[in-house]
Amino acid sequence: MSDTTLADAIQADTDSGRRLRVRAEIPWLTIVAPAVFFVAFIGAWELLVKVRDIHVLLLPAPSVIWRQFVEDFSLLRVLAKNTAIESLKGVLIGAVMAIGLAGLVQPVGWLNKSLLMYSSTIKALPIVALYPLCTVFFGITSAAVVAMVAIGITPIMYTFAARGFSGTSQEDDLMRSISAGRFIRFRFLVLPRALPYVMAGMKTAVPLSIIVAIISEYFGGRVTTLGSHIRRESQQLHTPEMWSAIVMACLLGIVAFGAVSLLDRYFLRWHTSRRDD
Amino acid sequence: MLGLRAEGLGKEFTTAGVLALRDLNLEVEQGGFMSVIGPSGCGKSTLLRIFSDLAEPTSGIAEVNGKSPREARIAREFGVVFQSPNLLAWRTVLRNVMLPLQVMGIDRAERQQTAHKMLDLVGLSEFARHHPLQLSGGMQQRVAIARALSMNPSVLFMDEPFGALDEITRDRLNLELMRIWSQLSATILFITHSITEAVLLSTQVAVMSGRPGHIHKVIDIDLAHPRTAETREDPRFYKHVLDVRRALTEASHE
Repeated sequence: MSDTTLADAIQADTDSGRRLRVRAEIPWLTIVAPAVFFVAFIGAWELLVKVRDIHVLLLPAPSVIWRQFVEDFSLLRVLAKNTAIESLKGVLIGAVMAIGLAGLVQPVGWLNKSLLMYSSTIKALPIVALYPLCTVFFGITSAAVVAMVAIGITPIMYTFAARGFSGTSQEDDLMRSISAGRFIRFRFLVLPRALPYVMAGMKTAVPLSIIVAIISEYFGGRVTTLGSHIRRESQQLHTPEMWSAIVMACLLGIVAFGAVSLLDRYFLRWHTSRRDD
Repeated sequence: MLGLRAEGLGKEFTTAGVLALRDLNLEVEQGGFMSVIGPSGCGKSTLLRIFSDLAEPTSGIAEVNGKSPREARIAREFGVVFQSPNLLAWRTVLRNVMLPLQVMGIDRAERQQTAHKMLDLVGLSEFARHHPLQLSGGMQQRVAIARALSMNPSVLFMDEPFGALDEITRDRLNLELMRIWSQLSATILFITHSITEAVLLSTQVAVMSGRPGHIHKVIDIDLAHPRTAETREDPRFYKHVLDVRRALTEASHE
């Protein structure tokens, strides 16, 4: 916002004071403190391994892991890409199913309630236990992993989307007063009103999708994925290689969460939470 | 033809067992500005909701421009300004004002032109591209007024539109509403808690009494138009304020 419009706003309205919130402080708590903690943690780890002379197969020093990571990077990148594609497919399938279902079911109260109950039950399930079933249906393939992710994501997204769709507000009166039909009401009001809930769901679902994908791969899946790589290296006691794959898995998780946060920021730039942070 | 008419209007909320309105009679000329004032919970908002087809009466007749509220709503003859601005937060100010026109299926160029004109009218042209939450409460309510006016309604329902605003903003918006009203020839039904606001704005003030709600008294306000800040210093203004206050006291002891 340019200075002129800001000044005009102050002039135009006496009660506009609350929009003037300067936030140009050093992000002490969000960046500096975690960074200091990270450096201290890595330093202590390195020191511990050196001083106690811990064997590399038990616990490699961070410097060793880093060297291994750099060495394996081109391989790890491919593995991470495959894992990412599997999670993304699963998330998309799960989210579309959940949002579509929630939108269709929303007008039917009892159906919505029973589906919410089912989704709570599925959420409580240790879904890894379902993986053998998935391999029965899909074989030990990428599709089985995608299916696992979709199963894990659907109940979460359903819960969030159902909450988003069920909200009523005075805007419903507005839509009626301008004689908006059912479809227009859904498109102009119900769908965008549910968006903050959907994005909140995605923030939970996307990191989870990577966890589910890697665990499923670990139990059997395409060879060229992070999970199966970690399993192979652990079986051969290649501890530094395992650690470098774990580092890649962490990076993947961070990148995925960052991407969702950016999308969230873009789609919800009008939202209250953008103003009060 | 009358702008608004209610005859023997009754409303019972059966689930709560509350009789909100009983035998309410009211007439507003076309182009008239009627304020409805009364103690809390006397059914003012219910009356407005019946006229704007957001609630159904249990007995009696309500008419808007000689039509049933439902017919008038479908013909888009009235606009509603609610107690809270009810703007769609994800739409810019301009696109909020365009919403009714978009629903009506009016083409893009025309609805943009109309919306800009309406924003001009409420003095918010520069804020067309802002999102509602970037604006103050008073500005948001002005956007809501622009939106209600965009359909070019002949009747405007306003349910305590300035109730949540501070005194100074409210005073300014009152005068702005007077200016807008003088440029249109709309019939306005205005619900308020403020006696001075009712007197300043209206051609008639209807004082309601509650439990069950009905019209206690209708007071004509014969102050000259256009009403300005000076109107508040007119001795007749104070006489009317006293009249309304007295009627309101009677109504609450009834």
